[in-house]
Amino acid sequence: MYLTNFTKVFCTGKYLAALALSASLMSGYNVSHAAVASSQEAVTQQLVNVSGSVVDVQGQPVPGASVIQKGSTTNGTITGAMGEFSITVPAGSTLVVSCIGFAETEVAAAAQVNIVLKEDNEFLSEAVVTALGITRERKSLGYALEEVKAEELMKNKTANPINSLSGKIAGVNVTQSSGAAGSGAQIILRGGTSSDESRDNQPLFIVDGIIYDNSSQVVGNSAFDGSMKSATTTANRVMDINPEDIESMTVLKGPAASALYGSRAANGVILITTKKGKEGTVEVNVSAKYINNWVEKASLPAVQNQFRRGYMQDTYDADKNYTGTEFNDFSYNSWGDAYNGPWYDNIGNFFNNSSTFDGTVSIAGGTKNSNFYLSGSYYDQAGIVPETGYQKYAFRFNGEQKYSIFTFGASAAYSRAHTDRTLTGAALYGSSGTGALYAVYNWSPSDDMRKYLNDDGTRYRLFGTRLDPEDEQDNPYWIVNNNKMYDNTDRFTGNFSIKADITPWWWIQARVGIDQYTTVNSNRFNPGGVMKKVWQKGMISDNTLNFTYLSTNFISNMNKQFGDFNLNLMLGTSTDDTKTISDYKMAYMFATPFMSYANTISTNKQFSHAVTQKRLIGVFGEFRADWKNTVFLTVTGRNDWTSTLPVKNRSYFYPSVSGAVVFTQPLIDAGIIDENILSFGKIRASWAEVGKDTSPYVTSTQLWPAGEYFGVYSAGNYWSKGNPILRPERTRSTEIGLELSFLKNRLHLDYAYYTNDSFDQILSPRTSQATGYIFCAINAGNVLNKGMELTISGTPVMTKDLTWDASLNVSGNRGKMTNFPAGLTAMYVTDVQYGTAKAGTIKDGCFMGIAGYKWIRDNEGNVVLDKNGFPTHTGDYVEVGNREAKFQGGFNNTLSWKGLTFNMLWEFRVGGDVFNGTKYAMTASGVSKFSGDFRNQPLTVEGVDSNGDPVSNTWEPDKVYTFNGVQKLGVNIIQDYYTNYYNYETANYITSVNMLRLRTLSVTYDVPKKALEKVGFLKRASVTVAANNLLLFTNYEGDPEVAAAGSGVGGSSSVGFDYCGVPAMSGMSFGVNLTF
Amino acid sequence: MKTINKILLCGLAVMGVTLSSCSNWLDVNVDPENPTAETSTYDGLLGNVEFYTNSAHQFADWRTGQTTGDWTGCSGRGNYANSSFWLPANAWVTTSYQWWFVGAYVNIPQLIEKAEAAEAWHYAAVARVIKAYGFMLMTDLYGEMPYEEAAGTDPSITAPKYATGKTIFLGCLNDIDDALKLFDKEQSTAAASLAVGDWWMNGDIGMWKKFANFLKARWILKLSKKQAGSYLDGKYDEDAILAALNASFGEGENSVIHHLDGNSTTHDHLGWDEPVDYSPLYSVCGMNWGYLATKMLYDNLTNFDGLGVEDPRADHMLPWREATSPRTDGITLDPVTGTKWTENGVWYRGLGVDLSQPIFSQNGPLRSYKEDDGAWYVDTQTEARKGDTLYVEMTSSSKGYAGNKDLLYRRGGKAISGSFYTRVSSPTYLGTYAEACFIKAEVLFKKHDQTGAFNAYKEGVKASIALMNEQLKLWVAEDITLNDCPSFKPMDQADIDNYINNGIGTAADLTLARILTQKRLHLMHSIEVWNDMRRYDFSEDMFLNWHIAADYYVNTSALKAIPEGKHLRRWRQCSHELNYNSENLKAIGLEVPGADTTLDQWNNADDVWTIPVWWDSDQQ
Repeated sequence: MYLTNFTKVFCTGKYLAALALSASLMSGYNVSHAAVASSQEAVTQQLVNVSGSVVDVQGQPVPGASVIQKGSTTNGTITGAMGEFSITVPAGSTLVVSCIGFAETEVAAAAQVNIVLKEDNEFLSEAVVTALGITRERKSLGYALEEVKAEELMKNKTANPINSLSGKIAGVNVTQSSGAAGSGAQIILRGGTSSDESRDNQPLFIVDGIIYDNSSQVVGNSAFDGSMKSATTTANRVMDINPEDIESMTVLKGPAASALYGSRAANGVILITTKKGKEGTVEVNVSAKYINNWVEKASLPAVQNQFRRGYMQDTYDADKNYTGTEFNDFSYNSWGDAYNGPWYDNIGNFFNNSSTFDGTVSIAGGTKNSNFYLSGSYYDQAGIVPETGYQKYAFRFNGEQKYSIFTFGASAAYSRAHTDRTLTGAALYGSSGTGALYAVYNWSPSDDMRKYLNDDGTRYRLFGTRLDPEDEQDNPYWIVNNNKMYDNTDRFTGNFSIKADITPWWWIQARVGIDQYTTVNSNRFNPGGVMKKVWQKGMISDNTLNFTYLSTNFISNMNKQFGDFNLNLMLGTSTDDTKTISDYKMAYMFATPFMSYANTISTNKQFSHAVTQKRLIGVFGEFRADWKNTVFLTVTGRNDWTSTLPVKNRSYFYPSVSGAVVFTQPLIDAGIIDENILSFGKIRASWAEVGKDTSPYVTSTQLWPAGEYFGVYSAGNYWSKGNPILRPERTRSTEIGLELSFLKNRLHLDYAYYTNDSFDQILSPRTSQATGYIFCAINAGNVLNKGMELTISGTPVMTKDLTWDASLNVSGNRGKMTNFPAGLTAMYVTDVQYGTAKAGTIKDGCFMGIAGYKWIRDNEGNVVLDKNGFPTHTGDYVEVGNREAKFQGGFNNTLSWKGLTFNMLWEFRVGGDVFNGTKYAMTASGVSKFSGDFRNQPLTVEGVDSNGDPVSNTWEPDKVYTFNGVQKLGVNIIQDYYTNYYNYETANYITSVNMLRLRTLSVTYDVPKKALEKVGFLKRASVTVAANNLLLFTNYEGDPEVAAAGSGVGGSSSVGFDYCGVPAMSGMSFGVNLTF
Repeated sequence: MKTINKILLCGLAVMGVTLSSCSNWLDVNVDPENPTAETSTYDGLLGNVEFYTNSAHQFADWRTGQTTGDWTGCSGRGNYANSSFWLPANAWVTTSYQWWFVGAYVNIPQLIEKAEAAEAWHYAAVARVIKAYGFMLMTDLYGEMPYEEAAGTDPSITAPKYATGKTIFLGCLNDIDDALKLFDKEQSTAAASLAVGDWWMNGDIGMWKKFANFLKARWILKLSKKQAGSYLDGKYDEDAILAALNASFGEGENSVIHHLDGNSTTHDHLGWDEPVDYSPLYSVCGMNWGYLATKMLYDNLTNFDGLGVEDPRADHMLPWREATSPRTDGITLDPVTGTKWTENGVWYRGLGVDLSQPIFSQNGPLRSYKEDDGAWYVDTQTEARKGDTLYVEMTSSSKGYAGNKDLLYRRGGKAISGSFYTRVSSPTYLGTYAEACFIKAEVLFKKHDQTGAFNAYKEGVKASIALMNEQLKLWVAEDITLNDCPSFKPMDQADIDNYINNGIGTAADLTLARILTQKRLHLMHSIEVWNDMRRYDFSEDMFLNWHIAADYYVNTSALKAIPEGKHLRRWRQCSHELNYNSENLKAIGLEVPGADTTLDQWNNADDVWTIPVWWDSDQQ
């Protein structure tokens, strides 16, 4: 049998050679021929027909295991779908059985052998899931890949699976945007690749082989109902998955790892594999957790308790002579006089403790030919901001059935999430008010913010009728109680697959998947708040996004051992079809105080409707070869056809090559190195290019919705210019890496260096509006990332009872952007602009730059002062900071002692700028402690005048000076300096952040089996106590993990901008996990 | 083996079928909900072109108007109060540019192309007039601007090259001449009637031709600093002005947009989100708080050139306030404050802020507040500021969009009248017979035709008053209760006659200053006032009661932007040009006399605001 088989495979080999084969493969072909000849000579020996099966320790068949006659390079076979095999060997031979993920096992040949393979837990030969769900041995990979298993993920479980990756993997950067209930997190692998604001640079998520949408969006827009990203919090949609359902998460960091996924994978891929039932008895698992979260008072901004609300008004007589300075209380700001109190801790009072219940019940089981997993979960969090919260139900079914050569798989998941949000930093677009959080931080500490209603229940107005309602600033309690913002998301995902194991070395698989959700963002703004005039009688809006993603893929995989060579060929196709339907509706100016669509006339109702659709076809292939399990080569190629690019440019091909060499094996074999010291060493390298398409309809210019202008119907061009000659965007990357394992694999080291060049980017930058457009789709700009990653892990202590596993990872990325479109000197991300700082990339500067102003200085660095002796500043934005850390990482420790498992995860960061917009705002309003500190101190400003002569001026707070030709009290000059001049050196509010954080501390106690046996019906039981964010050491005033505009902002994102957000939370949880 | 072959064959067959149908399957990149530029039609494009062009113009009219001395704002009102003492702000300079290019002009090249293809010459003509109207605004404001390369269809051009002011200026005059020829060309019978797409003149070709000629006269007049010669060469051409005026508006003929206080569901697309039938001046002024008349305006309206007769327009331009409790002494001129009161003692008229005193650097002027049961008051301890209650802000309200009961704005139950030009339904003067008269008066005056000049001047004042009275009658007809408010009550013919006969001087004592000052009273909130002031180098002899505001001399930022001895003569380019078109902007600096090209970007110079635009310069 093996003889004919080999002949057939050689046919395949020739076929492959015609495609792309290297010389090494051709030499393998020759060697194999020689080997066939020699085995023919051996036929005269006495032969034994061996048949048997290979199973794992659970008794599950192991298909695809290789069974080889020891010492022969040619005589071998591969187990079938049920683990079965048969082979003919000379009597007295030994069989070597191996399979990735299992320890190699040898058995003596006999007529019938049943072999049990033990799982190989050794780090380097562990099986990992790679692109398209293909399991490979870690050591064969030519690129970096990290896998995190359920057990690790559960150690610091939150509602958002992304958060569980934080600090654990080098090169993975997770930013929790705020402490608000239901708010999202952003995840970036190795720096962003696209500078366009519509692209969020986050990796592609694949759940059980199907692409899973992880967008973050405010459904609605500023022009329609005032909704802005920077005004509230948003979820990222991976939060719809119940983290308890996840078996493992695999991070494919670079394009080489993800090249097979094509267009959407340029930012890397995160593969999520959900749980399956195992063969054996049915198990029921119940886990429940109660979490209490709070805001660390130390992380809240410091407030002054010296000067009350109001301002010091310089007064003059009828002849304009200065007559003194008097206190005036007609101001929201706290620039008033010194005051003895009472003082109110408005910020501390505002935030609640947050309590969360998190429970999951699952049932799983399986037989020899089938398995299933069914779960249901409920998550209910009350936010730290009053009236906010997040609730989620999630259900999942996974099942598999084998029949003949076929394996049928199906899964279905449904979730419903509800979030009660609030306005945060900014107000509604077009309103003069502020968001709730802005008001919290800037409310005068001499007023009790809790008073927001009069005794009769009507709205308390700080200035009575002195201001019109629309000119006031809302009390935060009013906002959270009266400006309701909430969303509901219903999501269904499902997939169906058929796999056929046609021969032991060839399987094919077809899969169909759907991801469908409907999210409705609703606003209910009660009358009387600070909103534009037309909304003074209230405003309601409901904005629906319906997202549907349908995909199919078909994969054929052939794998065969030829002597020392193992060859694998995978070919496949895929199709993607993504459709969104957006429906917005709003109403205002209600006839009576009842807010509903029915209760207003038709001219006070608006709706809008939009549809997008994009499709993609991919054809891909991967050829892998390894020699003696020590030299590995992988070549991939993919061609995509996208609907979104111009027809002539819509087909694009991209290749990748990666390889690895385990260089230690020959050295160990030759006795040059001691296996006990250096057990394993591998170098790897990869090169890849991936293409990226664009959003639907950018190849043509749309029209605005038609309007009526004095009886004339008309519609003009939309403000984005379409481009009919767009080309696909490309990312080219290289990576080299080194993996070493010492002391019998007790200590591992993994190092990677990579470069990433994303060029021909499809951008819609703001352009000269003399083009007739605000945005213009073009190909331009390179985002260049390079970086290093280092992971050191091992088991420092391993005794019978005590094990200490530790892992330290460090990474640093340097991103910059070059080759700007003509005329463009900066790229900005919309909405992310606070004070004098913007998220922006200045030409040839840091990708994660902060654009701001600088004081003008002479060559010696002296500040150039104006006529009054105050600093002058640059007219244009310049790069004043870089939000990217110099390096960052995590240190994860697990100690196991008998039934106790103790975990401690530290995260650290060195460098990376944060703009403290909260402090900026609180200084402008005179509430920050900083403002209280300088307020009554002499101010000295030194520098040079416009002639370059030295100037030094000092202003005492209680003396009168002539300033701008007018007499003023010093205190008002000092205030003017700090509120109008100080912030034009944007760096004054920027901190280069260093941080060490104890992210998680947990203790789990597994109840001993003996104790469980007494109970009888319990199989496993454990109790966990965990704490999150317990310690933070930083030079930043507050928590530096900030993204003021949430997780979904594209381009360089809003990470590193702190502006009146919901503060980060610390928490304790208590959980119980029972398995029946 | 056979099974494998079958599966392979099936697989290949499926792939074959799939791939062959792929091409169709991928053809979904046409938005099913939104039409594209290819589908637009010339008649369907014009309506919004007219809207955005007018708004762009009016926003610039308002913003430049705040720098020419008639209006100011309360302390803390921000940029458009500070404008009155020449503290330039980058916030001035974006909106008009954006609304012109992104709202309006982007559609004009395709409108012309589509209209000409359909032989719809009237549309092609109107498009040229509007193109010229918009680009003339751009060069008035910024001096230079992308022109030939602006709004091109080449997708690779994201940074269009600049043209000089002269190129744009002559291009605009050329477009007007071309348009005048096209108006006379017979349209294809299949072409849409101009009335279908045109709401400025409702398809009236005659009025369009008069308007085009009017613009021609207005623009050639701007060349008054240039040598005499043909306007086609950019020279000052008096004969061409008079010829154009002859072909322009006659008595009673005006191009006026009558805005509506409706609640149109069509809102602008460029971020203001307001109904398109509003007066743009209501958006920038009328609906906002804190804008005040100046003493210059007050004096020119109440005692023109010291002639002692109050202009009947004074009651309509100067805002009124409803007194907390009616005056019962019957006095109509308060002996202490000098405020004018209505006979029934209900309303009093605000005074003008005296900008000859540095009021802003002394925390003034302040806005008046109204407590529920108290009097109007100003929130201050400073004696000098308490008198600021005499100023009345120009705020008004709307019935349609704001859901108010009338056009009056109320604080604590008491009303404020607003001002004639800045209400929601105020008219926009595109071109008026009155302005044509003042242009004629200036030209004849310079030709030493004193009588001709006076007749034109007097005709202009009469026409201005008549045009205002038309609107007043309309408002009162729509809402008779407004007749009780002196700001709305139509003018009496006797008052008009008295003013014309005794309040504006005679042919014998006519001065250019009277012509130019009457012209600016007519063109309230118009860029033409700034244009005239630039033409006459801000001469105090030419503009009655005009002085640079005292606060200018004590404000370091203002002095830095406009060094003493210089004048506000242009706008800086907006950040979109500085950031996204910097190289081309830099390049045009070489052709701008006065540009400091040693700088990295000449247009970023602190005092770029003082560089004359081409027609204002001595560059030929």
